[in-house]
Amino acid sequence: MTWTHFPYFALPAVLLWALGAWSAFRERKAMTWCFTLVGIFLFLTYITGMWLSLERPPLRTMGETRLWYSFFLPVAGLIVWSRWSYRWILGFSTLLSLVFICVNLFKPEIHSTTLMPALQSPWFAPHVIVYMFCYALFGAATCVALFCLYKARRPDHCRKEDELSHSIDLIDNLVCVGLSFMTFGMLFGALWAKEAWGTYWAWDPKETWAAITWLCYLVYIHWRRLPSQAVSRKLSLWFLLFSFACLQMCWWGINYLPSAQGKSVHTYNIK
Amino acid sequence: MWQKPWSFGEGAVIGVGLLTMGILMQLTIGPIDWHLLSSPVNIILLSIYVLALGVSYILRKRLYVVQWSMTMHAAVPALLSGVAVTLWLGLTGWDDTLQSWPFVLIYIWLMNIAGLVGTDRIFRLVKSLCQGKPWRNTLFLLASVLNHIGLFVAMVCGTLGYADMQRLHMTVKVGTPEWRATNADSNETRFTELPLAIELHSFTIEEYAPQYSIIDNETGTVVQDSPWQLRQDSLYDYAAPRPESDSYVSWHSMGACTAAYIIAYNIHHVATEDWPADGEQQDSVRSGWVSCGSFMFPYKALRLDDRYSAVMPQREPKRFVSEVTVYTEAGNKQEAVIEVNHPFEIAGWKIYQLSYDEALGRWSDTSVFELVRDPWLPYVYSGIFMMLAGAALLFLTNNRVETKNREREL
Repeated sequence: MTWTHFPYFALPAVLLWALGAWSAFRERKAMTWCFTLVGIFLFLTYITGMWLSLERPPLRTMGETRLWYSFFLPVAGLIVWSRWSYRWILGFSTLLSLVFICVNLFKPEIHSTTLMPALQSPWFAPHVIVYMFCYALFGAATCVALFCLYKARRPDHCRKEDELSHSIDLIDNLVCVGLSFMTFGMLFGALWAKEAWGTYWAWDPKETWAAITWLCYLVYIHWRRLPSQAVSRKLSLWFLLFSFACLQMCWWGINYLPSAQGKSVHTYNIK
Repeated sequence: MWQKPWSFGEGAVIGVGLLTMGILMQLTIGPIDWHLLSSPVNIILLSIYVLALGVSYILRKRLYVVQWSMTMHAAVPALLSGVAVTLWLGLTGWDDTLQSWPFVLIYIWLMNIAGLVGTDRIFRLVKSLCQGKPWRNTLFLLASVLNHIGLFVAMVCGTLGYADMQRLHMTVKVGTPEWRATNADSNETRFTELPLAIELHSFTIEEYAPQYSIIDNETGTVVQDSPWQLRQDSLYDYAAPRPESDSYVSWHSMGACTAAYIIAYNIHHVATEDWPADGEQQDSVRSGWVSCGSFMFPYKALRLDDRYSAVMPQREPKRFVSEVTVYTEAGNKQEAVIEVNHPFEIAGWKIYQLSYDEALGRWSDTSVFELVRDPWLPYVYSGIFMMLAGAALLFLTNNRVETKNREREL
């Protein structure tokens, strides 16, 4: 199996996931399970085929890792959906998965892009995939927070107040799941760093900002576990926006941060 | 302020107080010298610290500060000061994080809280198990124990173990066994003699297939949108330039470079119907040799027109592989292949592929290894694995609405 077969597996899989997402939205449980699982199985067949024909796990090139993102997003979406029954989560994961599939379809030259020796590790995919999923969840939480802040400008009706606290419960769940994924990503990173460089944590700029982001979201979940009357909900939402800004800094902002120039091992120079 | 019950204000004052104290200590005492803490000092310190935390937990009813520090009112400002001090670090880019007092003091405060809360949750977990409370409740407490104790163990052991960690660099030449190494963290070239020796049999670099780019003749920068398209006609992985000519021959000795014969098409001209018309061919097709060069031979570019040239950039490394034999003082002898991401472990040391003689590139006969001894690593890992389990449980047991109810029960 090669990349030329990719569209024949990926597009039907996306279609099945979209049908699953639609069923979830219409609250049809059995159909959601069926469509999504068949889609996942189809995609997994392709990955297995690639694995067999390459005679190595398809984890080396960027295109191959995107294959795994596209696979894991609906899997994670399905897990979250089965746990909390958010109607929109499968739609969200399908959309994200589609983005990665499209990159693989329309930028095929990236398939052969070289991978630095430091990145050729079994930790690479889990580390990045888990982080990507957590970024996606925090992104969703931030969107809901913005919506709440917009709504909270005029807290005049009781019904609105109810709606608001429902949305905030949703944010709390998203942040909590996101934080557990972030912890996974961060610790996988530490274990990998030990294998690759000999230290699990070196306060490299990327690591420092990862720590800041992790602490920020820890602040948020502890904050929200205070008795409700003691905290300003609005302030906690603003803090969530601040946390997301820190996350952006960690993700790509440090590439432009003067104090981080030339210091990060995450630029993948062997020196 | 300072009237019971304490709240955020007191927490904020403690945070600012620790920061101020840290800055003053930094100015007066200077950076922390972790080598003073090397074994057995760190083991003694750890025992005293754990004992002190245990005693203060037992006396929590009498010591209000202990009772308070296990509440969210203490945790939130403590975490916020953690954010503040790390943010400061992230924005200014300190070099020696672990040597700065403000940073260490704030993190010790965070560790106190994590340790106390973790201990408290252990007792609650046991109680919950004995009283046969619902399993969800028990799992929630278990997640809390794993998260707090895991963080505590990983951070405390990681920090105290830092004093015992040895990181050394060893440069080994093919055929010459080496047992001396220099400190990885300092620039001084004082050699340490190690209880093991490394003999390098070969060092090889596998490279990715060569890439070609078009550069601007004047600036030398890579141009993406030139009218030229390149095609590789023939490739010599190992080649040498033919004397007094523009071509290359296959040649396998030391110093050989990669060379390729490429054909360039100008798409503006090729697009015309009657190509290749004789008059136009001159402008529309170019062919010739390019090479990325080596330490022996210069690189070679192919001039396409007045503006553009085709070049072969340095090939990207794919694998760095050192084949070695490692001898230990005890008379052990082991063959090993060391690669990036595939360190070799022997007698408490891990040997990592670090670098090579970059001037010689793929002809390097030298390999640089990093040797790490980290006796506290198993404890740090146990903390990390507790946190991983805790994170998984947090994911499985969390539900905001249920949590609210549960906390009311507790």
